[in-house]
Amino acid sequence: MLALNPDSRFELEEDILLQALPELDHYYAFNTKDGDNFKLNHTAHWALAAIGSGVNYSELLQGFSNKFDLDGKAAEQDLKEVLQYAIENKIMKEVKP
Amino acid sequence: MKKVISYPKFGDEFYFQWHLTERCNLKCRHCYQGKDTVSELPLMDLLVIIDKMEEALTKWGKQGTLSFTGGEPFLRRDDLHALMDRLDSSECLAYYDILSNGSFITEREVKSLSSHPCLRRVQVSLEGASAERNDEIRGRGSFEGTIQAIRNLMAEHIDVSVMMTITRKNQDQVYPMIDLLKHEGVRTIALERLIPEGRGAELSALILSPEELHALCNHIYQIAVNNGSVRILMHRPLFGLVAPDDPTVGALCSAGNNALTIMPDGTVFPCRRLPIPIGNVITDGFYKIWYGSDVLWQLRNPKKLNEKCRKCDLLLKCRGCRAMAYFSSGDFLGEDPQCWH
Repeated sequence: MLALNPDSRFELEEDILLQALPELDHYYAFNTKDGDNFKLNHTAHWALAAIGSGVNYSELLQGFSNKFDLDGKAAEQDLKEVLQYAIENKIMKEVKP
Repeated sequence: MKKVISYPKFGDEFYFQWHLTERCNLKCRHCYQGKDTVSELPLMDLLVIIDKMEEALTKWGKQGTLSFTGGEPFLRRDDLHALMDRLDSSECLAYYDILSNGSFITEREVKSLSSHPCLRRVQVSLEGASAERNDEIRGRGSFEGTIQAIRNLMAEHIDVSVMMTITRKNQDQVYPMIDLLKHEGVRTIALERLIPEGRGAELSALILSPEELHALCNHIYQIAVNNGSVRILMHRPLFGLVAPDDPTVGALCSAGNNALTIMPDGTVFPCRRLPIPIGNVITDGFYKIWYGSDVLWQLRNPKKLNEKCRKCDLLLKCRGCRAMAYFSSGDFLGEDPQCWH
């Protein structure tokens, strides 16, 4: 299980590219090196884009909660699932301090 | 023994149009090529491209189809055959075609071609049903040469199709052309619109108006419905407007959706008629291009289209020709100026 603390930091894996057609509600992550491709939902795409901008877990959780109007517990649960999925599929990795 | 060609199921196909050279022995007046030609990759690099195609097709779960063309692809005859040899053993490719002007398709050549089990069809071009009408566009002697190529191919039981580019100059030739093809035993004809690019830009005055194209498409559709032996390929943007409920007519443009064009130097375009470079397959690879090109992402998004297309009741059936929009207005998401709907 993913262990998270407020200072945890993540980054997208080197060859990962995020794309979106928001008007059609289509969101994706692509690996431009090995060709892997992932269809995402809006929340997962938003979280991964925020991770790409360099925020820590605490900032990410706060932003996620605000953006999707979720209470703290629901936001934490949803975000954990997104991060778990993204790490398992090598879309992102945790950055060790 | 001839391998039976399999056809990809709907939605499973990914098409590559591969220009091996821009050199050509003809100088057709309507050609999309301009004056300049690009350099050519050596065979070793072309074989690397096939490796990359196979990797991408496997990853995407698609069956590949491919057309070799040019310029005139037989000007790289040895490389062409080497590539066909390689593709004949490919698990990822359903079949390939050759698009040629026919000049080099001799009796001896068709014997070589017939040994390639994955060669589905050879497409040659005619612009009129007589030497006089054809050669004023394609050059003196080309009609006789193309007819001979057709006969040589038919004698070896290689499937042939004919491409005809429709303009004001030859729109009266559709029916005579069908008669000619019936007589020659050709079973397929593809009709394409003239795009004002390359040398063809000088023929802009010959592009049909929307009203003229509408009348012609109706006429062609009636011929297609009532015609027995020659199949008219009408899977093109705008054609679907004449019979919106007929699934055999019209098509969404494949650019950005399930096709790429590869140029002789490895440059990749969304479509040969939409020559906006989106990467190089040797240096970038297919994944970076397919996933990363902003041009492709715009083409994939119907909401980015011009207002007329975006609000059209036939948006799911037709989005116009993006190349025609590009060369008419400079905006590849703009209106197709020949649309009559």
